[in-house]
Amino acid sequence: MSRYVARRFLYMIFTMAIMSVVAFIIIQLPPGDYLTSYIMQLQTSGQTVDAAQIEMLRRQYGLDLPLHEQYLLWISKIVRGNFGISFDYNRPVLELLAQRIPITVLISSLTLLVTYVIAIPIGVYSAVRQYSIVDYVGTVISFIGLATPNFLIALILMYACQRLFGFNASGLFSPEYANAPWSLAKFIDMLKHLPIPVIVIGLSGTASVMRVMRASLLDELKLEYVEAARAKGLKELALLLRYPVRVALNPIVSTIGWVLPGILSGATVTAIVLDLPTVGALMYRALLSQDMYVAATCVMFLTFLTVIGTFLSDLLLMWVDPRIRYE
Amino acid sequence: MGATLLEVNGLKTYFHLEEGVLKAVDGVSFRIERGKVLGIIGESGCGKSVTARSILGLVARPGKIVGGEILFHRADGSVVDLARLDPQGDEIRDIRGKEISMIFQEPRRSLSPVHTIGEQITEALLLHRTQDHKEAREIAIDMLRRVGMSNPEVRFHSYPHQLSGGMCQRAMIAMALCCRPALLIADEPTTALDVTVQAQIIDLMLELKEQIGMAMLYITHDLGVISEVADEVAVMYLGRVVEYAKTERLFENPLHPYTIGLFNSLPAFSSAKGRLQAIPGNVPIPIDPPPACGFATRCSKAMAGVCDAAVPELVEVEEEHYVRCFLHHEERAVS
Repeated sequence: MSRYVARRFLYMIFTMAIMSVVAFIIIQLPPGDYLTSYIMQLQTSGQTVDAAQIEMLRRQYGLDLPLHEQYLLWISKIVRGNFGISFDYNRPVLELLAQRIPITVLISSLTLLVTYVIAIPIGVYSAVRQYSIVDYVGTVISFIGLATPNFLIALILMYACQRLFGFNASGLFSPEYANAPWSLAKFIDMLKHLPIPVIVIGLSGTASVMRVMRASLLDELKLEYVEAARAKGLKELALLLRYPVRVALNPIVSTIGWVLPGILSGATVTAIVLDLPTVGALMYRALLSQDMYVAATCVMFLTFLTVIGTFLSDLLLMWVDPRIRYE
Repeated sequence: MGATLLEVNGLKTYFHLEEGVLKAVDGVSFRIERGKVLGIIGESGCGKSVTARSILGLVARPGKIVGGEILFHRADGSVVDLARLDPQGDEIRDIRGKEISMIFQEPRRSLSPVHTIGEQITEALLLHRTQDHKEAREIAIDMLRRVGMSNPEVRFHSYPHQLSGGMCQRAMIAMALCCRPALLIADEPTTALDVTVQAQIIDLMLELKEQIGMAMLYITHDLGVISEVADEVAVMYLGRVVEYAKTERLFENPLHPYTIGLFNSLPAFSSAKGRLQAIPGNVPIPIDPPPACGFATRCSKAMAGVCDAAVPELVEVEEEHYVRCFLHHEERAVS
């Protein structure tokens, strides 16, 4: 078993190394670099472009080097904890991310929690009382949740909030707290802003977890071991939770890994609409302006989360399912 | 005649489907004495499994017991009608696993894949026999030893997928018998196993039956197995008992055309050489069945205007030998 874990861990490191190369190449794929878009910006605002200065900047950032040398330079700095500088913000990438990662993690984990707390019980109930009113209502809501684009729901909720409560739901803080230091009032203000992003980002996830839970529990309920357990004289609720629900959770456990980055990147559009200071929104802006170190770090951050998440959910699955443990 | 343990009278279990009413069990009666084995034999779909599940209140929706009674003589001397109990109520749960246990056809699929067999056996013990976890563990290991598991202390921690089918069925038997039930319902317990393992499991069950002094309801489609285990046999076809007798008598003198067909379709019993004499056709699905003998469509001796016009009564043609067939209707009918 520990050999399996060690092997999985090595694979994970290997995958991460490959992903760093892929991330770097992807960022380099669009024609031009940050300086081309910088020159364009200067020209459109009517300023003159000094060729010598551009050349100096290009050399300073190493943009004149061949691709593989640029990569080696970049990765050797990252290993030492230097993620480069944002051309756009003119600040270290690490500093930009340090601001955004806590907020992103907060929103994501809260969304994940709310998703499971709502979706799993409803999914279980829908399966046990298949074709009941609750099952039908849950099904309709979950299909709406799956089919409606997040940004649309975000806009609708923001509009409703403004009209009904006169509350501006955009951003994570009201303007007066945006740059204020942390205080109880700021915290309460944040709590007021949190529900809408959580609902919007969590809706489609809730819907799909609900469907997965319902389907996988329906499969389990048909199996003989449920009947055998019932023939022992167990109470219905204890039986349900101890046997079929326990087994039916496996597909959900195995997807926790890719739900996490899914929430981060999937929330990008929502984050832009709701003006949330998350990593997704930062990455989007960096990609547009070819702010390569920021973009590459964000892409790497998301892929690493996926790889780590998958590793963690494999470990979790091993813990809950003995059939995998003793493979 | 010994003391009655279970008496089933006119049991009807129907499934209300969109296509109509599926009469899976349609007026089944039988009696099991303490310590005796009743075999129920029939093809798939004849209602034998639904009969077994009706006794324990395990019939899944949309199935429902709609008539008849299942009188069970409990250990404390009281008699309860299991057909009237709430299938999720306390009383039936107190009987399940403690006074009536059940083992199933697919041993590996009848055990939870994510719990050790030790956990699953002790669970039954903790429900019915003791509150003490240590004692439950000891009883469970002792049971595993008695069902012939080598290294029971190690097997206690095994998961079903680590054991062979035969070992899983032994674990299942240990789980079913750990509370010393008065009745064991065995629903095709050896069908999914190899022939050699089959014989071992049957011997084990008979041995434990003697030790515990329990009765058995043994469901199978295998006449060979029935002849080994059963004191009495009920032959079922399309939700009804069509023949009911002591095992020796049924094997000496089968009377119902369906029972005769079953014997003839067995290689060992078949008189003719060459091709086996299979019963032609398939078991019909009893959705809104017409008032006729269920076997009339496949019976070589069917009489037009008689067999397809009414349901024959179960009549006692000789002492303790009952047949549901118009060919034997001159004899006295039992109501």
